[in-house]
Amino acid sequence: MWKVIAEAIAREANYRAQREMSRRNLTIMTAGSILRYNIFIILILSSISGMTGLASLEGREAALLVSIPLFIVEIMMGTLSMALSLQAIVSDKLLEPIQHLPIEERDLRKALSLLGIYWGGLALPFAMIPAGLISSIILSDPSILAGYLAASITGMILSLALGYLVGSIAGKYTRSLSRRAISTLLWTILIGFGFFLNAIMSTFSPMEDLSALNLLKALPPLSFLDWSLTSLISSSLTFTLSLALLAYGTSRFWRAAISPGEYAPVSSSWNLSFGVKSIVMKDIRIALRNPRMLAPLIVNSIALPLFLISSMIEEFGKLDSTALVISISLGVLQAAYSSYSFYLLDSSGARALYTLPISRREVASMKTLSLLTFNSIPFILISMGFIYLGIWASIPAYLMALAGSGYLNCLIYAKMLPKEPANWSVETFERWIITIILMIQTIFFISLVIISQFFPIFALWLSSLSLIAVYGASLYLSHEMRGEPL
Amino acid sequence: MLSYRDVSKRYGDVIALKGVTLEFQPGKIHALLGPNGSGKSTLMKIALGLVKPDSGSVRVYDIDPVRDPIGARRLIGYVPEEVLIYESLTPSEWFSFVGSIYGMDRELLRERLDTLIRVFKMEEHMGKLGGELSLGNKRKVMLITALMKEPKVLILDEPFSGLDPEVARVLKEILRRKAEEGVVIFSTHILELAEAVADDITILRYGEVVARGPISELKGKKDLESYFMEVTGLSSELQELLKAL
Repeated sequence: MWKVIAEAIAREANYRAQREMSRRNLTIMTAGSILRYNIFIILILSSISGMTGLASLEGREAALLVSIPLFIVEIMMGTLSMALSLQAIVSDKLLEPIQHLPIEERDLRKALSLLGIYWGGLALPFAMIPAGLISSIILSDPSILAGYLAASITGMILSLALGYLVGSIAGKYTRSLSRRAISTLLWTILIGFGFFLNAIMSTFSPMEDLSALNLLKALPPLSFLDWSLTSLISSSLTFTLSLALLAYGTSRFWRAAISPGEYAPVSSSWNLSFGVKSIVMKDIRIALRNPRMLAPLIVNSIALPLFLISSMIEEFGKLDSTALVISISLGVLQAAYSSYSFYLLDSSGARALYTLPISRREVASMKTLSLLTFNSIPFILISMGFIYLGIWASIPAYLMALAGSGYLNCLIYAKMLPKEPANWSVETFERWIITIILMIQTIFFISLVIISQFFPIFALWLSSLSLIAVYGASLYLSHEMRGEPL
Repeated sequence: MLSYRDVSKRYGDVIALKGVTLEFQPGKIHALLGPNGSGKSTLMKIALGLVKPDSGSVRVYDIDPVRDPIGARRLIGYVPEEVLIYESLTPSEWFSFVGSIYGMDRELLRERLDTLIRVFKMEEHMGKLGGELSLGNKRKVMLITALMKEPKVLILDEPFSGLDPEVARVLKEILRRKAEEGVVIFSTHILELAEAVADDITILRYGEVVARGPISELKGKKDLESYFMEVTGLSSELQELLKAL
């Protein structure tokens, strides 16, 4: 029964988001299809994890310690994936057709858990398993793989559980400010977990402090790699607690999603706004009213650039050219990570846009305006930093990169939108395409920063050329999509 | 004017429209009738360029919606059968957005919306989120969206479903006034409604036009229901099925 429910929901989400395409590619909830659906993310995570596992060449302690960032990445990716998936469940009202059927809650819990695994959950353990495998081969210790495996499975269950649990706080659209604020805060903490933790870890080095390392061994994920009684108890408790949280979270989310919802008093006065303001405010208002969408936007548009710039602040003093290179690559990367979320804001309402006289290029322009408005917060903060450091030239470079990359990415997503009225959800855009888009721009960012350390002038030339290429590609796509209807 | 010439459309093995030739002129209210799956919604969506026909040609005044769907959508006010609404926007926020897309004059937009909101009795609901509105009020939001820009062609798919009798009466009056200056087409399953509102009817079955013309001429001395059952062949089919019960 629960497999049938999960399959029905997955098929419906796929159909509503893609329409014409989904007629050819219907989801079937088998082990093979779940693996195929997640395969690209599995490959990417496996590559990163495998490379990280090479740290074990430095010894056993290093092999143990790399499990911490990998476990954090797993939880962050898991909760981000859950936020976007729950947005599709809520906005597409995917649970409504089954709410009046005589289905036991136990089956619904299992169905929701399976959906979480299907919509990205299966890929999560691969953030850790390859690292564990490589470490165990290098150190000839199979217990490391066993520990990594157990930690990764627990991490997957825990991230699904936390996703459903937080998702249940504002399970429907609500005008309750407190519910939205709590939900947004919790989602932001979960998705941005690693960025916040990095600040703590940078002032706390367990490699140099043995008592701290012993303490960490009693906590997950290191407890899974240690065979002392305390660690075994801690690991067992974490696993059991994760399972219990998943059961409780799925039940709570189900009840919240099908409840009639609470209606706050409504003001009888109303206003109209006009022009660009009303277009931009549409997206901003939707974001502010959807914690599941606002949190990824906060993390991708605000936390990520601030984290990156703060971790590279020491480089700014060296050369003006290095500062320019970092500013350009930061702008490109920030817009790349931000743009995708702006399309998901429209959710089921996107179908209404298809009845209006708008082209895909206009949709991309509107999304770019929203993106720039939202990203003005980190832009102002970072620009203030540039002014403080006296590197004024970085401000226009950063702004140009942000605007150019924002428009290019918005055009790419507008080009991929379905040709007939459909919901815009995680199912609309192929995950592997999004991953490729983000990876290319991440590699671009990392490469430029590395090159700028050794060949600053060459890196400056390269980044300037890249910026010209971004604008060139935007102009080309914009011309190609002129008059192309939504 | 809205015209279809020899338009056909298939969805895989299913024939939605088969060589349909129709012309809808201003001055009359046109009703599209037909059993479920007869092609009514497909016919309407083709006019907006939401569905491309496999063959044949369509014109919305001088515009070909296949080549220029954006141009066609500028002329058409469309209310689909399914509810298309932003759950986390209030009606006033949505109307502001649509008005900006159309590039409407601010004062004109404000004036028109004020009238439409009062006509459809939406004053108390303007501050609610779309997700909090009842089905009837969601449909009113869609009707106001379609009417706010004085469209030259009004295409309404099942517009009366979910509306209370008072608003339904208001809508009938609006359709009558709109038909004086533009093309008005609506689909319905309620034959009494078609009889009460429309001047001309078009009956579709399996994607083909099986009857078309003024209601009084078509039905003759029969009632519309009997005539509908006869031309769609549903009468004999139903008799057989009822016997089997």
